[in-house]
Amino acid sequence: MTTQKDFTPTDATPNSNGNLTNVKNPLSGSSTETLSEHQAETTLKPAATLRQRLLTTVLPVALAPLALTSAIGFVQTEAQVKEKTLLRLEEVSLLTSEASTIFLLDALKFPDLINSNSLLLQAVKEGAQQSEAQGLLQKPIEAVEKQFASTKLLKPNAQLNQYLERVVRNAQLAEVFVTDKYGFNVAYSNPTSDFVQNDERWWTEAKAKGQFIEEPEFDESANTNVIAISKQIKDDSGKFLGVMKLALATKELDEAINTLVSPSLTETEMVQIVNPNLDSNAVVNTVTQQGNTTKAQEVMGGVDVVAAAKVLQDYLESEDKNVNATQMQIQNIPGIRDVKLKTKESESFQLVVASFTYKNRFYNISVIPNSKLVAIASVSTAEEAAVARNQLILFAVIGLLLAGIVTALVYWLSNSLSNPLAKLTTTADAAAAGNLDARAEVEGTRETRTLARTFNILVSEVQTLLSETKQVAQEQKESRDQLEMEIYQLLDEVGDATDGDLTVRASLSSMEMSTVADLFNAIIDNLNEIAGQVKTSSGQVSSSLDENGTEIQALAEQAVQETERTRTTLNSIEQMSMSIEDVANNAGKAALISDEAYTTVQEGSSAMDQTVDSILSLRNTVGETAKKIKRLGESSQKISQVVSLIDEIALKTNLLAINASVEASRAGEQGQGFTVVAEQVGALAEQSAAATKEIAQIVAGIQAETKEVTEAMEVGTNQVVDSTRLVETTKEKLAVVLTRSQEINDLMRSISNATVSQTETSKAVTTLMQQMAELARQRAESSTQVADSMQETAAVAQKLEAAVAQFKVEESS
Amino acid sequence: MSSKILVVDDLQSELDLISQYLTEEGYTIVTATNGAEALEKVSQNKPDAIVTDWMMPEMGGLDLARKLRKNPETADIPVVACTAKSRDVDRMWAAKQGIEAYVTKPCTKQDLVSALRAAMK
Repeated sequence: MTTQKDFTPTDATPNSNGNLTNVKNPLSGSSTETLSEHQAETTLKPAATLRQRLLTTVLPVALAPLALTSAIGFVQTEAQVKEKTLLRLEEVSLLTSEASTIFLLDALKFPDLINSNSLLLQAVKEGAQQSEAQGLLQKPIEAVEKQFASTKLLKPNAQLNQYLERVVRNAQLAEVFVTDKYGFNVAYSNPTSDFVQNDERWWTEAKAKGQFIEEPEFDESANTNVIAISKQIKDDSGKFLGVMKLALATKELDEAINTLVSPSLTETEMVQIVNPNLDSNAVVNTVTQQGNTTKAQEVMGGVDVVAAAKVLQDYLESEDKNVNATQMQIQNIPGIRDVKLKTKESESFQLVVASFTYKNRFYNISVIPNSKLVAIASVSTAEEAAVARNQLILFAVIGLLLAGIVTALVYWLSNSLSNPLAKLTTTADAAAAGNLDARAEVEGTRETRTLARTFNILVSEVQTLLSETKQVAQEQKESRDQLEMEIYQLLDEVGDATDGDLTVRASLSSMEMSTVADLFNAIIDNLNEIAGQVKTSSGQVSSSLDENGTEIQALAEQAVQETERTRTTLNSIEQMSMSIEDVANNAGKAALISDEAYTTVQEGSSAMDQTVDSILSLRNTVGETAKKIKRLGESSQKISQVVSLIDEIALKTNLLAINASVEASRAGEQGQGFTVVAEQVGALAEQSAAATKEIAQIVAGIQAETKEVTEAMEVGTNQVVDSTRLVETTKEKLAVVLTRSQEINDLMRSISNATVSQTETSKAVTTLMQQMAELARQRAESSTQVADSMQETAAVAQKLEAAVAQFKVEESS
Repeated sequence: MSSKILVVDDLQSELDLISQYLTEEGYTIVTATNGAEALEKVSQNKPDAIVTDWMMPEMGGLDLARKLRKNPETADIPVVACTAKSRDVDRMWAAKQGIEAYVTKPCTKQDLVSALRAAMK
């Protein structure tokens, strides 16, 4: 941690302590550190000593089980004591119950003994006959009572009465009396208060069930509790003859219980035989350690316990025998807790026992079979508590005693363990503080002895190691000093090299440093060589630059001039190119014009052709017209011939008409009409002659005109022939013109084409010249740059020369 | 024809001892007492191999080796270092500077001769 922090500058200040220890003792730095940390830990948080640790750890470990065992033992013993107490209480209760039961069972045998007397049987039978005879059953009871008030017997039988008195005396009974089967007194040991018994409960119960045990009653005269037992009287065939009732003093029972139970009772134990159905004088008998008393006493525990007893009785009388419900019922009575119910079957009867705690007493109630009595045994919880207290004291005393012994043992053990360790710790502290002469005492257990011995060996080892370390450190220091001296010497020898003196040499006298010195020498040698070479080279560069400088300058100037010339040439070429372009344009135009001329001539030629054709067709037309006119002339001559013929005919007709008129005049009257026709034909012949003359005149006109037209036609024909000849000549000349213009056109086209290609060529030439000009310009620039670079290089070479001049170099070859 | 060996050492006693060892083995011996002198002897005598001390005044054994390697005429002459320096770093540096074989003083004759033979192979 510390070492990591050492590297961070911010943490350096707060951690300066750690650094100091490191610097002071670099060899044992880490160990001192951990030691100081350890010390810091111990001072910060004081740990418990071994003794304390042992006491705080071992003591609880030893004492806690002891206390636990004591507690468990105590609890168990207490439980056992309680259980035992309760068990005895139960025994007492059961004993009481059983004793009572046996007593009652014994008592129930008395009636059978008495009934076996034939005299009694006889008397009962006679009594019944008498009752029937006197019709006593039909009479009211008061009347019957009054009738038999003197004797209270159906038929006084001194002998029988005496027998019963004897039985009472011998068997120590309180009284015995017998009724017939209708409930009328037949005999008794002592006179009874009533004569009619069939209205009494015991009588009806006994008649119905065979026997009936009444609740005990306190008899003032006998000064004792009395139990009345009623039982049927039967003959051998089992026929109901009557009822016998005998009263039994419970003194016997009390004494029996007292004898059985009293000796085993403790101081606070008490057994009471109680009739829970009675509100007063419920207690029949109370048995304590001191003996028994039948005097009127309160039930121990009061009404709540009596209520519990009643519940228990109800349970016995119930048919379903639900134990849990009964237990719950008892539990529900306020103040009663820890209820337990037990049933116990005997040969002739059933026992049920309830145990519970109520108001500082344990109770145990058992119902006495065949009776309305319960035995309530109780004991004070204080008694059980007292026993438990004694147990507690016993356990506490034993526990404390054991704890004391354990504590003493642990204390002694811890002392014997911790003392040697404490001494050893003190010694170790002293050794850690620097006293390496400290030695531990060898004592205590085997482990502490071994520890002490090992510690002593360790300390002496450390001592030896420390002295060895010191010696080694001294040696190292010396060798370091030596090395430092040698480094110093080496630096002294070669230090001047930093100022450029490459003539220095490191001496090889030191064994340690000579390798480094050799390295220096190798480097300096190399530097020396390089510096020499650089010096020479830079000199050469400078001089060659001086020589070449002017040449390059001239070259550059030439390049510039060349560029200028190229530029001028380029301008001329550009102008030429423009002229050629003009020529080309004009040639193009001329070609166009000649084209047009050619077209025009061609058109003229064709027009001429058409003219020739027209003229030729005109000549033909004229020729044909002339022919037709000639024919017309010939036709008009024929017409003249026909006209003359017609004229002759008309003349002859006229002559015929005159002849006809003459012959008609000779023929007289009949000839008259013919004379008229002849006259009209004569008129017509005259008209025809006139018309013929006109036609001759017209034909003569036509003939004259035809002659004129023919003559004109001949002149026209001659003219047409002449013009045709003229047109032919013109046409031939035009063809010549066409041919010539065709040739001109071709020439013009070739000129135009030539000028176009010339223009393109001149353009290419211009581009080439431009490129040439660009190149020349670039060359001029480059040569200028070269010239500049040469100058810069010269400057650098001069600088380099100056720099290398610093080195002092060996004057070698 | 016996091989010619140039022995270089600034201590006369060492020079004598090495010379004796090598003479016994049948080599012809030329001696020099420092690097500069050794360079002269090399150009004069053209030795077949050189046995040299490292730590000498003026010019040490490795200086000598470097100078020999730079000159093409002498670059192939095997050089054996015979020195008191015995660390690995020294051997490494010497090998880098062109030393063929390395013998630490004090050396036996066997050591020296086997190293020389190894270098001349």
